[in-house]
Amino acid sequence: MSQTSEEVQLKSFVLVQVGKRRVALAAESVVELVAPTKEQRIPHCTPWLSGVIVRRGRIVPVCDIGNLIGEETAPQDSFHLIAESQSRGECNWYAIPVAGECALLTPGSTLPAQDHADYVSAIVPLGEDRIEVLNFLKLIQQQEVRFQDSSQEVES
Amino acid sequence: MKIFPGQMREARQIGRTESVILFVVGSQVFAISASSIQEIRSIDSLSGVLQEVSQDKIDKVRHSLRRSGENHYIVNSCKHFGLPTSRPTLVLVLRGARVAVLADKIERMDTISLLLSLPRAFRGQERAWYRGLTLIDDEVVPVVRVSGFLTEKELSYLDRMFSAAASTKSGPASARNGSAEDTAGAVSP
Repeated sequence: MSQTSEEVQLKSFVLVQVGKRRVALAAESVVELVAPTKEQRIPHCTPWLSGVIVRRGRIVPVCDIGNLIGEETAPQDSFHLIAESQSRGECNWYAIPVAGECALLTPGSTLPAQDHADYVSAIVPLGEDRIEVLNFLKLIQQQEVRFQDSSQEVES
Repeated sequence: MKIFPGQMREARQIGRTESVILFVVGSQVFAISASSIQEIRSIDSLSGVLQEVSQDKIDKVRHSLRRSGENHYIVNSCKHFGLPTSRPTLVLVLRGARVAVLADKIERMDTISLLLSLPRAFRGQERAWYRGLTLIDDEVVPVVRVSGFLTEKELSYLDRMFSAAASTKSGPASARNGSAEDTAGAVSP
């Protein structure tokens, strides 16, 4: 039964432009797309976050996934895709800078993400392109592991 | 795509106001509870009163100040928050912690009624630095946690270093029974 619901989830993706690449996120994890908003900086030590935006009375951390997947830093006037991730019972919102063009994809099939990075959960064929579906949670978790490792190195 | 997940609300305090002092370090504004500030001094007024703390483990602390019979260790807030070096002119002596903090200037006093928790996505030392975030004139302002400047372990280490230096200089004088306190020129918030 859970497989059925998973299949339903995998049928919809949000296609976004991150740097020069087009990638997809599971539509299930996307809350909304926000017009360019002032990103505010606070001093912090979490390397994969660049700042925060205020959205509907919430403070949402900004995570430039372009930096994490080898693309250039997003320009200041980027749109923000608000995505949520569930981890250890926590539901966190992230603002992901993207170029304005986003599309909802409902592909007929997806391909397994063999020989791709761990954070790529599937491949969506789109014309002649092969779009990587990012597992945002995994991408963040990889950063957290690296961060914990480097923190421990500094402490020791 | 979801329109609005209604089940998620940030932890926040509403209905209770709190007086805060907005202070500036470099170009960053911070808020601190007014009740946690014992006094605000200009650095100039403290010349001759500050005592050097000889140690190289905690880079952000170089001096201490005697208050209420105890050493208050002066934290360089630029180094603490990882900000570019600035020109501090003030020392905020904190209440309830043996810490004083360098600041460039005081912006103003204000009242907040909203304290948003730091998003859990932040995983670093900032979780200890801030009680939360507040919104003042649509700007996100971190509300600092008094106990976040120096840990108990760091304070113990600084006490040991201070005592060792004091006993080298003037025999058996201890850190907690050291020099006379300076009380002139203090400004209460």
